[in-house]
Amino acid sequence: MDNFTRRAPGIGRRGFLTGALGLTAVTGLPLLGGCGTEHAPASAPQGPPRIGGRLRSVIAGRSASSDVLDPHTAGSSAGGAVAKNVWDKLVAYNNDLTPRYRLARALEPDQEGGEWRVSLRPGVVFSDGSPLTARDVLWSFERMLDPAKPSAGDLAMVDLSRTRIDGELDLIVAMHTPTADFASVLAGWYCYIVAEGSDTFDERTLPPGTGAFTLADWSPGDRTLLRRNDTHWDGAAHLDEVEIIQIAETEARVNAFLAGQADVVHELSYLQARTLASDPEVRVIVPPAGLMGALQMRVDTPPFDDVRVRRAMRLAVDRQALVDAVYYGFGEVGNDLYGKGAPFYNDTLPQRGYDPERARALLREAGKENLTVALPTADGMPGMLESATLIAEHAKAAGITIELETVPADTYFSKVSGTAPLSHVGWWNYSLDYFYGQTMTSSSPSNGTGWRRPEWDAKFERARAAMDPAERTALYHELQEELWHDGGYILHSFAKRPDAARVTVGGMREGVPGTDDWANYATTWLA
Amino acid sequence: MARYLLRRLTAAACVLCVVAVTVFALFELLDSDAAEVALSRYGAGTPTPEQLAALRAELGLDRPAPIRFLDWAGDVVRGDLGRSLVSGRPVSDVLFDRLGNSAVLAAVTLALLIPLAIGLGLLAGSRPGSWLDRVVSAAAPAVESVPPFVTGVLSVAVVALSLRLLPAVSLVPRGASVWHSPEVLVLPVACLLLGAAPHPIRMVRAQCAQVIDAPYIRTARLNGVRGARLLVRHVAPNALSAAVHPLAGAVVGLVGGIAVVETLFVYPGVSAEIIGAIVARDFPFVQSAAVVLAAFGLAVHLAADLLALWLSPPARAIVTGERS
Repeated sequence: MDNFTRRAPGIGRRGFLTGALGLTAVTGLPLLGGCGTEHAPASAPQGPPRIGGRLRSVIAGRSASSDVLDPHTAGSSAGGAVAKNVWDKLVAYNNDLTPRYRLARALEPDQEGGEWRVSLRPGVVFSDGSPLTARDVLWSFERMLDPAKPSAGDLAMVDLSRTRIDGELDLIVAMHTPTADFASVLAGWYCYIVAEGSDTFDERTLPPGTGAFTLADWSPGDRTLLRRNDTHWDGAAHLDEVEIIQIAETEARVNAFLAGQADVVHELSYLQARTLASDPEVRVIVPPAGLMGALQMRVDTPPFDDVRVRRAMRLAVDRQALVDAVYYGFGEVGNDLYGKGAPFYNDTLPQRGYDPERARALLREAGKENLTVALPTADGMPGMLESATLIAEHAKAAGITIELETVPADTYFSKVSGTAPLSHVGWWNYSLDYFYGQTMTSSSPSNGTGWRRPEWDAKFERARAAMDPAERTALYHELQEELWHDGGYILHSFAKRPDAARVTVGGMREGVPGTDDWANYATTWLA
Repeated sequence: MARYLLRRLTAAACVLCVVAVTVFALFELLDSDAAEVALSRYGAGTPTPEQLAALRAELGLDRPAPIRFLDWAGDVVRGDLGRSLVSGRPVSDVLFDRLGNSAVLAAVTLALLIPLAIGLGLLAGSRPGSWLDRVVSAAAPAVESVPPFVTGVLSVAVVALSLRLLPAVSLVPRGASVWHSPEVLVLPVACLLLGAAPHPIRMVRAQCAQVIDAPYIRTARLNGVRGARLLVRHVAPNALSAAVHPLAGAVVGLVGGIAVVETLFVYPGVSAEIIGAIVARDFPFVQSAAVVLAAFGLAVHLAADLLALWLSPPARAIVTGERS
C-alpha cells in the first residue's frame, strides 16, 4: 500500500531504460559479486561508540492523513521503524529468520503444541516506570486480534477465549490448531507488546514502550522524534535522539541525504546504491539476505495448468542476468523456492538454470509451441518493471512471447497479483511456516498460484505440528521438492535492498527490510 | 451589481456540487477501498474476507454509496470536513495545515509573478523590436517549453547538490512554519516562476504592443506625454485588463504546478497529501480537499472578473447596464 512511495517522479523514473541499458552497462563495470558487503565495513568509524547526538534518518513513509502510530496497525516502513525502536516483541527474527528471545525468556509448548507457556523476562519496565507483566501481553494480544486491525491475520491461530494469565510473568496461550513454531508467529510484523491500557496512539498520548527509545514527538506523515530510554532492559542506546523523517520519493530521499539533511537513508534504488558506493563519505549497507523477486503462474488456469508449460517458463529466465542487470549485483539467484537461508529451506535441490532449448522442447511436448502469455506489470517496487522487461527478452529464445501490460502500481498487489494467470508476487521474509500457511494451502487467504493439493495440505499440517526438528525438516524438504517440480512460482532472485549511512555513523545493523534489525538504532552511534 | 454577484455565487455553488458528485462518482469507480488498503501491507499478502467485512463495518463502508455521500455532504454543509478513514484524524486538521504551507508557496510566487509579468511585459511591449523586447520574446517561450520538473531536477543537482547553496528538499522542522526556514522556499518558488511567468509576460507584451500603436497613444504622445507617465497612465490600464485573465489562469494553474514542485522538493504542502489519500482510498479527505481547492479556483476567477470590471468601464457598463 505504500507502493506509490517508491515511484520516482518525472525524470527520475528509469522504467524501461534501466532494464535495457543495464544489460550493456553492467558488462563493462566491475560487479559487486554475490554479497556486496566486502567494501562496506572499510569506512565505518572505528573505536568505542560515542555517547550522544541526534541521528537523522530518512525512510519511505505515508501521507499525514493516513499515517498511524499504533504499532498494531502501522504497515509502512516508517511506521515499522518507529515501532521497533519504541516497543519490543516477545520474539524477534534474525536476518536468517531464526528467532531470538526479546521480552520472552522462554516459550514452552505442551505435548502437541496446542498450548504454549510464554515466560516473560523479569525486570523489564516501560518508559513510564511500570513493570512489564503478563497482563500487558494479554492486553496486546486482545488489541492485535481485533478483526478490524491488520495484526489479526498474524495471530490468527491464537484462541483468546482459552488463553489465561499464570502469575505475574507467565501466560498460557491456547491455539486453534496445534502449532510447533509459535516463535515465528510472535516475531510477526505487528506483534509488539504495548502497556496495558494503551489504546490511543497519537501525538497527545505518546504511549510508553519497553524499547531502546521513547516517543518525544510525533508529527504524522512527516517525522518522529525519539529520545533514549535510559531504563531499557537490553542496555541503554548510545544516541540521545533519533529523528525518523518520512520522504516518499526515492529520488528526494537520496537528495536529502546527499545535501546533508540526513545521516542515514533507507530504501535506495539499486542504481543509487551503486553510485553512492563510490562516494568516500558514504557507506552503503547491504543486508546479508535478500527479498524474493518472483512471478507467479496460476496452476489452475490455462496455459499454466500444464506442468510442462510451468517448467518451460521457469527454464526460460536467465536468473544471473537479472541479478546483474536489475539489481546491479545487489542480490543472488533464486531456485523457485521461498526463504533462501531460512530454517527448513530445502537447499539440497539442484539450482535451476537458463535453458531455452529444454524449455522449447517441453512446450513442443505440451503442444504449446510459440506460446504467447500476458504479464501485467507496474512500477510497484524497485526493479519490478525492469525484471519484467528482461524476462520477456529472455523468454524469446525459448519461443515464448511475454506481452507486457503496464497497470497502476498502487493496487497491483491487492488486485492484479495472484488473479491474473501470470503476475508479479512479492513477500518480505517470514518463516516458511507462516509463508506457506498464507500462500500455499487450499484455504490460504493469499493463494496466488491456485495451488490446491489436499495431500500437500495434509503434509503441511503434519510439518507445522511436528515437534521433532528432524521430522519437520524432512517434511518441509518434501513439501518444497514438490513445489520445486510442480509449483507456480518463478522465483528468479533474492534482492538485497541496500541502505546508506554517512561514514560518521557507527553501529548500524545490516538488517533485511522487514526484520527487527533493519532501521533499528539501538546500537547506532555518531562519531 | 449585487444581482451580478449573487448570480455568480449561485453558479459557483452549483459548480461545487458538480465537483463533489463527480469526485465521489470517480472514487466509486476505483477498484478497492480504504479497508482493503488499510489491511494490506506490501510484501505480506492480502487480508481475509472476514477482516475486510469487520473493518468496512467499522468505517461505515458497508453502507450504500448515496448514503455515504449524503452523510459526508451533510457534514460539510455544517462545516465538518469529516475524518480520515485510515487514521481517524479530522480532515480539517491535516488539510488546513498543509493548505497553509501551499498557500505560502503560492503567495510568495504570486508576489513575484505579478510585478514580474506586468513589468517585463510592459517594458518589452512598449518598445516592440527593441533589444529588451527581443530578449524577452525569445526567452519567454524557451523557458515556457521546459517543464517545471526538468528545471526542478536541474536546480537541485546544480544549486543544492553541487554548489550546496540551498537545501535539496524542503524539510520544515515540526511545529515551525515555512517562514522560519525561508531558504526552503527559494528553489520551489524559482521553479514555479519559471513555469508560470512566461505566458502572462507574453500576453501583456502582446497587448501592450497593440495598445502602443493605438491612435489615442499617438495623441497622448503628440501632447507631450511620454516615458513612465505614458506607460503607467495611458498604456497600462488598457494593456492590463487583457492580462488579468491570463494571470488568473496562471494562479489556478499554480495549483497544478505546485503539485509537481511539492513532490520534487518534498515541500509539506497539500498535493502530496491528496495523492496519498487517493492511494489510501481515503474518500472523506479527497472529497473535502477537492471541494476546498475547487472553491479556491472559483474564487480566484471571480476575483479576476471583478478586477477586470473595475479596470474596464465598458465591460462594467454591460454588466450593470443590462442587469441592474
